[in-house]
Amino acid sequence: MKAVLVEDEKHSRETLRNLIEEFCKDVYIVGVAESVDDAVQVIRSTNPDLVFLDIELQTGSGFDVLSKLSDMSFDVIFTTAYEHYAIRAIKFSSLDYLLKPIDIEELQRAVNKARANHYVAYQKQQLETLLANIAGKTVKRICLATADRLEFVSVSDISLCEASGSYTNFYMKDGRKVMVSKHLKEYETLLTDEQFMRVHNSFLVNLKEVKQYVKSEGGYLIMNDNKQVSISPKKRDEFLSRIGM
Amino acid sequence: MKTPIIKAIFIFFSLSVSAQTPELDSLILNLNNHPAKDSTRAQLLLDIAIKLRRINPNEAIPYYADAFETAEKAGVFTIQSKANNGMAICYGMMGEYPSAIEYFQRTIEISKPINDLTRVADGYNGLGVVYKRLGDYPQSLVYYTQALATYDSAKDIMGLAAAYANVGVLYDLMKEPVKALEYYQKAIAIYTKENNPLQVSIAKSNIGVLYVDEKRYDEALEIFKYNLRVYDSLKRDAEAINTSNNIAHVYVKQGKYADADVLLKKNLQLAKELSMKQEQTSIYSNLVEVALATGDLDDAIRYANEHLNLVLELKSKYLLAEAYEVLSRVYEKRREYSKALEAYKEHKAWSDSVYNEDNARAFLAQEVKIEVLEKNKQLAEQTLRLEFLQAQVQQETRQKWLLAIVSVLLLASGILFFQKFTQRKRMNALLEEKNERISKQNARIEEMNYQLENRMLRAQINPHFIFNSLSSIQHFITGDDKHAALKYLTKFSHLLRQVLESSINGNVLLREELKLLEMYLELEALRFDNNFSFDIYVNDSLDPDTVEIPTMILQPLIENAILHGLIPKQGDRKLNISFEADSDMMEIRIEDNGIGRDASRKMQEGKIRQNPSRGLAVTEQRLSVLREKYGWQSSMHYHDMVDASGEPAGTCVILRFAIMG
Repeated sequence: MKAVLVEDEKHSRETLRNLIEEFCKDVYIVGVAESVDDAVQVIRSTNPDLVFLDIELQTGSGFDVLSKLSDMSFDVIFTTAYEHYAIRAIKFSSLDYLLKPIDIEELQRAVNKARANHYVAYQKQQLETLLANIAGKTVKRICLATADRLEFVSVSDISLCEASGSYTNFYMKDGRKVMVSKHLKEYETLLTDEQFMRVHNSFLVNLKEVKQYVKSEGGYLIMNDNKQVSISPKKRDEFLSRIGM
Repeated sequence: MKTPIIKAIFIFFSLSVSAQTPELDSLILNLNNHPAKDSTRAQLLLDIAIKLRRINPNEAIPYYADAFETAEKAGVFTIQSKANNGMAICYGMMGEYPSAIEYFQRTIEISKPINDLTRVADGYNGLGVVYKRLGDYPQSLVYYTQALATYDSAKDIMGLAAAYANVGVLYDLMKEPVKALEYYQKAIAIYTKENNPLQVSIAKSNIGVLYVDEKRYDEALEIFKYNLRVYDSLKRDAEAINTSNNIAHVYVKQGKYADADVLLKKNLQLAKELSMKQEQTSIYSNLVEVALATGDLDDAIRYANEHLNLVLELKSKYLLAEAYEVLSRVYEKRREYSKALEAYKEHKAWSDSVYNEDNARAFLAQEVKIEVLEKNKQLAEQTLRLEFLQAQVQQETRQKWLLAIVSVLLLASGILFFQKFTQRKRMNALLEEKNERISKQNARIEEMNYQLENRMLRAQINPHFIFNSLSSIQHFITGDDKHAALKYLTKFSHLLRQVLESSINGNVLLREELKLLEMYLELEALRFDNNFSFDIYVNDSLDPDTVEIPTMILQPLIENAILHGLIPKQGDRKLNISFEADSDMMEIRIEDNGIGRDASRKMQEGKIRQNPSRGLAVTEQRLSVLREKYGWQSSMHYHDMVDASGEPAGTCVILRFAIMG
């Protein structure tokens, strides 16, 4: 795989290069860049499969690089020195990021995932979703990575998420079901700010999709699609206060 | 039996608080002309409330509440705590003790963090007064003791004296005259030293009353006579008449009825001239005692009636009960039993009404308990009196009628007991609820403190910097530069240890801080391949071994200068840090020859989203915490430097601190 490194600090650049050369033998670094303009030019001229992109650059941000490229037919692994406001948006797009100092195993896992993901259309859509969410202009979209494909859905189209071992089932408003290989916990952190609530160990519901709250039999919810969802007693008060009662 | 003698000073607030303020009308006019919700308006509202409180506490409360809110918005914490305490005092004056307790406690809560010790002490003092009025003397003593200690550490002399006097009154009530005396003396010592003869005399008069109780009449007289001279010279007519009346009371006790009579008549004349009705009532009541003692029953009945007329005019239930009691005794002496009984019934009715009024206000279980005791005592007295009457009236064959009265009285007191019992149960429930609320609040406060401390700990060392350092170490390792990796690791751990070991709000000696900064700068220089140089200069007038400085307060500023000033620049990059002193201020300059703030800002503007400068916010927050909490003066400003041709030539941050250490 051909890779480009975009890092403005010399030491970070050297570290990443050394780690890739030693631990990811099939990745060839075909170009490095230190600034936004540099990066745009190097990516255009080398046409890489993979770009390591520092979120914070002296001359702008990694997202500026992406927004200046019309053709985004490559995978991106973001790098950053600390927990960043943009990480949530990156997760929404099912993209990868590495925190510095870099964990070698995480680096290898991200590279392997990039190697498997070679549908250009998906890559492009993932990055577009990311840019839209960062800019905060459109309805929030989320990328759900299933075993064989990536699904791009609006957050508001999700009715309910259900835990199923280490997998999560997404029930959409239109009745479709999408199974994703991530823990429900991960989506709880991502979606709690978007009017979602974990009402039960197994359920994360879109509060806007709740039709009824039935008090009997320990309490359960009826969703707009008539699915029934149990609510755990210790979550009852929080649920009532979040729907404004 | 009621003693027609004047005693007890109840002080709800420290005397040092009362300041000279303009008249009420002009204050209200000022208020209307000042609609902006700032500190001036808050102060005006507070002044108005203080004036109103003396006239009618109920009217003062809304002003206090407004002052509280306005001060809260304007961020003037001292006014906020004063207003809150004022409300507590009003509730106390109105007998709404549960509210008073709640507000006094809040006074303490909000005054502690702003270190307003006088107000904290006022809160304790107020609680002491309230519990005293509720009859819970041990609890009252606990609060007074705390008030004493706090006034002491606040160096509030007048507050301390007032608290001593209050403890004296409390011991007096607890029937511990020796201790009462001791505390009155302490108060007197301070008032004497502070040259406040009025307060000296007030405290002394309490001692005088104490002596009367102990039958030390000569000593009591000496005090009262001394006080009389003081009050005359200060033109305090009411106090003078009361004192003179006390002297007459002592004469009665000593059997010097003629002396008492002369004095009382003179006082009566004076009180009438000054239209002091309250004072006249106690004079009449003493005159009745003199007449009864000398067997002059005509005079006795005349004075008793005059007393009653006066009291009827004053409409005080308490005084009415007392006047009818005196009257009934006089009739009894005159063997006019039916009139005696009539007067006694009036006395009973009024004292019940006083009692019921008190009851409506009574709230805490403690008070109810004590009033039950008092009522029992009264009932015992009544039973005795009724037995006596019964024996007399038997001869006049009116036994049955009286028996009926006895049973009615017994029935009435039975009902009273029942009411008291249910009331007590209700009080207990309310009390529990209050306690629960208080403990919930405490838990919340503790949690907030914990969070705050945590935040401060994190503020000391910027996490950004930690991860950058670790990344640098990783860099040396991946580059197989063992020496550099070890050197960096050692420096980094030195720095981390120093920072973690320094205390949370802690200051360190300048010498220590210089070492820290040097280590930090070396780490940053290594990270950027030594492509900038730095220099730290300390003026000789500053002794690094005595002057103190908040730990790592400069680090975010230096990091900013390096990252946003120097690194984006090409060519020669230099950072100068200097420490200078003029008189009691220290001036720190962090000067870089970087690209300047304008250029840096332009680079940031190009980004899709900007990252707020965390480090700077942390420094500003720490400075403002130090300012608010410890009153430590400081200022920070930026200076954009230009070269000879007017081009940007870097940035200089100037911090000025009051020198500590």
